[in-house]
Amino acid sequence: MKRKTIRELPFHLMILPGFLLVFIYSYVPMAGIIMAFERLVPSKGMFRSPWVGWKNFEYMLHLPGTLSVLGNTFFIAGMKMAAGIVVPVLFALLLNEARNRLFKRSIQTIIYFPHFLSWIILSGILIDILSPSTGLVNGLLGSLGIPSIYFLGDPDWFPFTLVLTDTWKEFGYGTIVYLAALTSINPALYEAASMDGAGRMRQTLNVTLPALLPMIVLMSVLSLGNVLNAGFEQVFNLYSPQVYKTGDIIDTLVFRIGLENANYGVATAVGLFKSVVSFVMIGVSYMLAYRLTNYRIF
Amino acid sequence: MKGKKGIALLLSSFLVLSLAACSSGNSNNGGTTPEESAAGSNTPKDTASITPLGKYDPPIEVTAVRGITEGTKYSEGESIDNNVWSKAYESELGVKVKYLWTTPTAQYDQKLNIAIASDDLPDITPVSASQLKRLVEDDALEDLTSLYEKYGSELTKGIMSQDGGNAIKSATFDGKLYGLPNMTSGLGQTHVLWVRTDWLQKLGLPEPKTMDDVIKTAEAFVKQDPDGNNKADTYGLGINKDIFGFYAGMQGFFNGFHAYPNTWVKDASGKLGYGSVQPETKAALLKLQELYKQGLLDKEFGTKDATKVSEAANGGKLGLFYGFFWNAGWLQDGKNADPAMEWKPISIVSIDDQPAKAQVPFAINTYYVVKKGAKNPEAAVKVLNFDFEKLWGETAQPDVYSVNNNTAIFEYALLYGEAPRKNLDAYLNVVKALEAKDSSSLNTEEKGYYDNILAFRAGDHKLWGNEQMYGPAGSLSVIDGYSKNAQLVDDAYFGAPTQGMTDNNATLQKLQLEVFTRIIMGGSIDEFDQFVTQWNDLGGNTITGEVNAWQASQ
Amino acid sequence: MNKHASISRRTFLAFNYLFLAAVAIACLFPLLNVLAISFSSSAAVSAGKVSLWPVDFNLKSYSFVLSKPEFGRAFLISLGRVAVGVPLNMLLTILIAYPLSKRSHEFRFRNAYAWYFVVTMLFSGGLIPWYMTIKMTGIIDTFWAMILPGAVPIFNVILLLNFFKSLPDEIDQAAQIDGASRWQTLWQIAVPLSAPAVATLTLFCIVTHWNSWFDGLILMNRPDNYPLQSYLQTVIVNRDLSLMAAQDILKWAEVSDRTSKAAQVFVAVLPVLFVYPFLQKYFAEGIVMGSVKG
Repeated sequence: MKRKTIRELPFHLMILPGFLLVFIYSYVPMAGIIMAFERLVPSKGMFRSPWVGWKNFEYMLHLPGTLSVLGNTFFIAGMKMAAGIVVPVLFALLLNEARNRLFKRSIQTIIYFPHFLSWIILSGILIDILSPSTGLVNGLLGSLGIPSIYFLGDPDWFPFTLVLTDTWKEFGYGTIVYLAALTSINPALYEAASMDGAGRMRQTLNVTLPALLPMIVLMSVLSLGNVLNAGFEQVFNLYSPQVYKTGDIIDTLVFRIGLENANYGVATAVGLFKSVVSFVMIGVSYMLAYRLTNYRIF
Repeated sequence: MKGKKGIALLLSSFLVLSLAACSSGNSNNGGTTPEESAAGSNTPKDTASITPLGKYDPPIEVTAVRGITEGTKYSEGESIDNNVWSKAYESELGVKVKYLWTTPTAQYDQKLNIAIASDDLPDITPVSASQLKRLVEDDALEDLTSLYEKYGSELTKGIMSQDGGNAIKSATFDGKLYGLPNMTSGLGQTHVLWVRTDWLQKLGLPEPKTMDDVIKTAEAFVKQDPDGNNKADTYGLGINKDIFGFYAGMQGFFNGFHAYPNTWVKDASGKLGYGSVQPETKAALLKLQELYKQGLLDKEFGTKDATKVSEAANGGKLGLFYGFFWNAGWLQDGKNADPAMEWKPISIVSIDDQPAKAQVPFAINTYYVVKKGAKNPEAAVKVLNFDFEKLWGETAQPDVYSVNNNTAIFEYALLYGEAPRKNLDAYLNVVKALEAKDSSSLNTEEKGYYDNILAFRAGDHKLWGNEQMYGPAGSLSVIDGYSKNAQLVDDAYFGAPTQGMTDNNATLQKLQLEVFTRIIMGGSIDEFDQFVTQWNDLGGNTITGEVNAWQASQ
Repeated sequence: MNKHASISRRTFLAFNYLFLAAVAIACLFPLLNVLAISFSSSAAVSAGKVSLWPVDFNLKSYSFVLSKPEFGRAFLISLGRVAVGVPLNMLLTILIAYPLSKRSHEFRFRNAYAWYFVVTMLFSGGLIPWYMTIKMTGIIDTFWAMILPGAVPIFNVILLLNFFKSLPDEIDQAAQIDGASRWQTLWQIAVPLSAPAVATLTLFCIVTHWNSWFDGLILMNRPDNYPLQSYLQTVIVNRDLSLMAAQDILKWAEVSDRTSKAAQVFVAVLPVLFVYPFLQKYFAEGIVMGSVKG
């Protein structure tokens, strides 16, 4: 037993610096979660401010529209998570079919570009190119005979516009990850499948996808932490009153409350709520992945 | 080597420490304890420092924080910590200002909220009305009532009460003054109507005098191809996605219907009511809906903020919108791109035979507060005296302290405020000087506008904006007209945000914007009545009660 | 393969190439737009004439940007931040990921440690306590405020630990038998074998450090000490000018001119665009999980 402890000692030492930094800068501030149950009086400090129990949570729940905002958030975030898995996988598969190495590499580089531009810059560009009257996109749709769509102003379309533009901005990262996984599949597996008479399609279904599965599971589970993050910066820069009905999300709501009266209690309560939900989601999927595939994600 | 140096250092610091111990011991023997001398600076014995402009001797240090306007320029070797103002504070007032932090103005609020929440305030802080209220409730501020009485100079008291005392009242809680308002002008936040006069000429239209004229003009601008490119690509009346605001907002339009949204107005019985829920507002909305249907408003206005609308105006696609007097500054870009572009600010117009009155929001947005327990709470008042004296007093040196060489030196001052009529007076003086061809009576700031207007008239169209604001037919002349003809409606509520407001404004404002947008875009006008009911139910009733209680207590 | 399949395959490939190229163009659009604006005259830009190609080509905005000392200073601060922050990120990531890649029977505490780190991805005390903690540790308004609080990128740790897991156990065991210490095994065997993953994560760290703006704004007490993105944030954000003195409005118009904004945005993206293709060749083997490897 003792020998085991000694053998494991270097591991503890390796983790120690990171452990301490995380303790100081992540765990110590977590004491602030207490503010979710208080009305913060700064001069009294975090631990001596008046206790209000669940009031901050009740306040949020009783605000008119909170439920629809919650629904919007789930819907937008969920769609983003789904698109964030499906699109990169598909694109990686297609890109993998391209044989010209230079072409492949250039595409890989280019699709990562939008990631570098902030939503503030992109919103200006998007309002122009998505305009139903003068925009580039509707011009294209029009030449295909599709009537123009008010992507940013039609409440039915708005959530999908959010998902579309977010995916467009971020799918490059996922594609790179999956492509990396693809290139390391043992070619022998394809040869074997080909000998069995499997066509391209069958090979993809029987060899490629199963090989990608662990990666897909890992990325999905990690993204579950975002189940209530519908993307504050994006929504804030793109939404407008006519799409509040479908576009208002928890973070924008809290931002407006915060802007009005710097209500930290409520902000913290909302944050705590989001954390608990994400934690449950990740915990459950971690266990599921372990039970079903006997695979530990982290 | 290294070791020896370390020991030497250790030794010397030891020496310093023991010396300090000795000296404090000595002073104890001398009879004054450190506590006493600290208290001494609170109630100075020398008479000089209790006068409004008296110098502190020995000098004191005052901590502060502030936002800095983007693009602020300094002379060679100067900075926010070292400039004409900071030197003058130190040499003439005995006040050394130490900024704990500074930040661009756009980020100031955020950074200040963090500082407030973590109980990390400096001696003097500029805050907003709602922050002021929070801080008063949390008992974090020094009561300035007697200090302002005792130390405030005549000049200071004069400027601070030029608006009839409302500014001071807005910072007074239970009879105690907790902040020094940063005086500005509410008049500067009234609407004028900006119109492309070269388009009017081209289409043979008169300047709009009535609401019908405005609508006809908008229609002509949409349908008669004012830019002459044979494309239907021009807009009628500019409107931004927030519906209200400083550029392409609709306050001026609503005012034409005698509606005053977002402000508190007195009804016939003398009670205060919220402008957004009055029947006049409904009429204006109905008209906007009609204009939208006729294509006189941008179909996509809901996604376009003020900056986007200004791109249309500067790009020659929009020739008519309501906005603040300084919008000429934004239009300058368009003028640079197309010198043939001509804009004229005109007075807002009315739907009937009653003249339109422009709504005036409450002017004060910033208050200077003093942290509770600050060593020299009166320093804030004295610095304000000093600032006003150097800017507008008898010994004023505007070229040293206000504006020089196109550098806005007044921005370095710790506390600021300007007489509410400053811009209007500047306009009046500049026009007088232009008529007399004599600029000798102008102060430096006014002289700058005067010179720029002359340069513009000599052909430099990059200075066009000056003529449009301070010239004889400039936007300030329109506002001067409002003021002379009593065409103004002041926001009747100017207290701190009430509890009902802090609790419900986020919801109510969203509701209003959502409903108004929907109505303009063709929703049923019955929605307005539902909105009024909802508004009342969601806290509007409470707020109206609070506001009327406040009025009764005034 | 019969001929028929080969024709349909060729059609597929042709469409595939077309599709991929179209997507790439769509991704390139915003950047080209920004670039075109930065080279155009502001008159053309405010008239809405610029989309993908500069109108009235000129370099004025770039000379304006270069003449601004604030821009250069912020650029250097960001470079310094990357130079110090990224190696530290990587060192800590490697040191944590390696022990956590061991199975529970080799390292009994791995699960406890793993959850210890993962929890911090989900829970936080919010802005105020975060700020107060950083202040308490005495690094506020220093360079380290931008380095230490985010020194352990948990997401990267998870990716790397999965890569480590995929390395064959035999190599590790052989090293142990040869008497190599854990440290030697890590640095001489595990890390070199994981070079592609390390390169990929390095890029992620560079991008994160280069693009963060919020911490700079909140943690630095003087705009002079802002990193590049914080500085850009103050320039790009739309402003309500109603509270500004009339003199300032004309001044502001100069700073916020769209062409110079675009030039600053573009110069700020450049370094990452430059580093990215250079590290990209490792991506092919970047992040791969154990079971993928045959």
